[in-house]
Amino acid sequence: MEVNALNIIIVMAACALTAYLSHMGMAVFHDGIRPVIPEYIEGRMHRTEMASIAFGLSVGFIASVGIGNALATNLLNPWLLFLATDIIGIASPKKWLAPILGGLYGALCLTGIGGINMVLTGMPVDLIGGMGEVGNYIVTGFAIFPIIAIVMQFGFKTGVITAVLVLIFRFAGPSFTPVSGDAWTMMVGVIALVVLCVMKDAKSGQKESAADSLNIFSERVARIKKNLPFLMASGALIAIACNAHIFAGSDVSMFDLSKAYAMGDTAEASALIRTVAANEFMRGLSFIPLIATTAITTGVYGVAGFTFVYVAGYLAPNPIVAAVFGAVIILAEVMLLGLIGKFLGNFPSMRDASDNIRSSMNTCVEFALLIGSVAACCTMGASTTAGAAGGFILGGIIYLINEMTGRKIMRMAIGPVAAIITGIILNLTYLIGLTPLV
Amino acid sequence: MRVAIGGMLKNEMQQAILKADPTVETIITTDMGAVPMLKSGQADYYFGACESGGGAAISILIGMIGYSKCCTVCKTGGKPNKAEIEKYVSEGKICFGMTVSNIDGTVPILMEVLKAHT
Repeated sequence: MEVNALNIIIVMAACALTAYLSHMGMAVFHDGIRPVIPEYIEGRMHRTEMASIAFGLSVGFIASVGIGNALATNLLNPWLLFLATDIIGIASPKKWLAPILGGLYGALCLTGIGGINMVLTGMPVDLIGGMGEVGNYIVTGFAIFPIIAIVMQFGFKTGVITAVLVLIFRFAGPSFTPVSGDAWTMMVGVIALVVLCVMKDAKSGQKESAADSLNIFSERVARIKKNLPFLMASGALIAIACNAHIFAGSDVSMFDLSKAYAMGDTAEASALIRTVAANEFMRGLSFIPLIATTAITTGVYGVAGFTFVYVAGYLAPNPIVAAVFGAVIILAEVMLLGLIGKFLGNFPSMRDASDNIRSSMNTCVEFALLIGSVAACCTMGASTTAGAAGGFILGGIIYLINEMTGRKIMRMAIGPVAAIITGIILNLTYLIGLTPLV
Repeated sequence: MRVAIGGMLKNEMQQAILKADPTVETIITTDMGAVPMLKSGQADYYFGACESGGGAAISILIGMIGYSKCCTVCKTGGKPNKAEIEKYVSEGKICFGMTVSNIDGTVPILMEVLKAHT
């Protein structure tokens, strides 16, 4: 992530606009703040009370996933930037103040994270190199999610049968096709999940009455459509930030993007970026029901929409194309919002599946991150006389203390955070001569 | 007591509730599916988990049941506060959101308060 004038302008513009969107109640990033905004607009809540809710819901996220992962990947992420601009926008007493404070916050994040990363890079015990291991299993781990979703929704037996089926394709598939094992794992798993859902729906054949209740929100959908120019601008700016290699959209993508960007302009890097984009797209699909339903019931959209603008940003050949795609994607999403709402109302099982898919994606990514982070701790330990086991014990102690004290740091962030702390401790023990380099 | 379950990690939520009180009737559904259940009295309470405890967990409930009936009992990185939960329950809140990271720490306290209330 390069800190230069152009990148600072991009980040400042994106943060200024998202803070403004949040102040005006047009769009927020946090799905939980969306339903609170009508309470304010319709006069049942004060701005200060709303600000304290936004702060309470997001501060843990910003501190653990936001800052921790930004340091681990040297890329900005939506939790760091947009959860904060949600709060800044809501808390700003004046309309003109929101974009100014948002822009300043963006500049602070880019220079701050870039600066801290530079300090970490210069340390005697190689911290940044070791952190490269954190993302080792993300792509493979993510590919397990359909199996876990099936276990959640259809039980142990169906889950194990699917797992066996998936594994057969995973090991046999690449021998007769150019498709990778991870792609086979994901593809067979997703097909199995869809088939099982359709079979269950066909069997039960019932439609719940939630359908009608979603249609009464057409007024709120109209409010989102009215704000389209601002929402499209936000989509364009976020796509540009992705395209400029300073921003990654989610935990699914950020570690591999960080690795790919470090490789430079090689064929291997662009293949990895394509895999990452495909995974980000899958993640985006699973979030549609959540974002669409909260948007339809509240009239408040997401600053990154259904998050497909990230994918456009990763894949676009240049920032101008990224901006155009970003804006057009948001336009299409908002135009389809009413239809999506109707569809979700008619098929409640889709929402059920979506809950399970999001849970299982998280479970898989958390697991892969934890294992990768342990590997990173071991690598850092092995470069000193502490040894791999020494790194393991440092990381292990940090992880278990967090477990036993009510998980102050979220599961998703504890792995990378533990690895960073392990690296810093090893550098300190190096400085006092306890663990010389080997 | 009948508890409708929505949000993330529903199985874990159900196990945590049944561990706290095996006599509770749990209904695994979705946030939207729980709305008619709560309105018709088919379910007494709603428990939901998401990353922050206030997002996917209860956002639809806030929109469709009303803000006055919903609350977050454990936020990300926080601990459930028994006195606060007692206050929420006595105010008539029936939809409870919590962070998915601390389902096992939150549900026993929430169940304790709800059992004392009924």
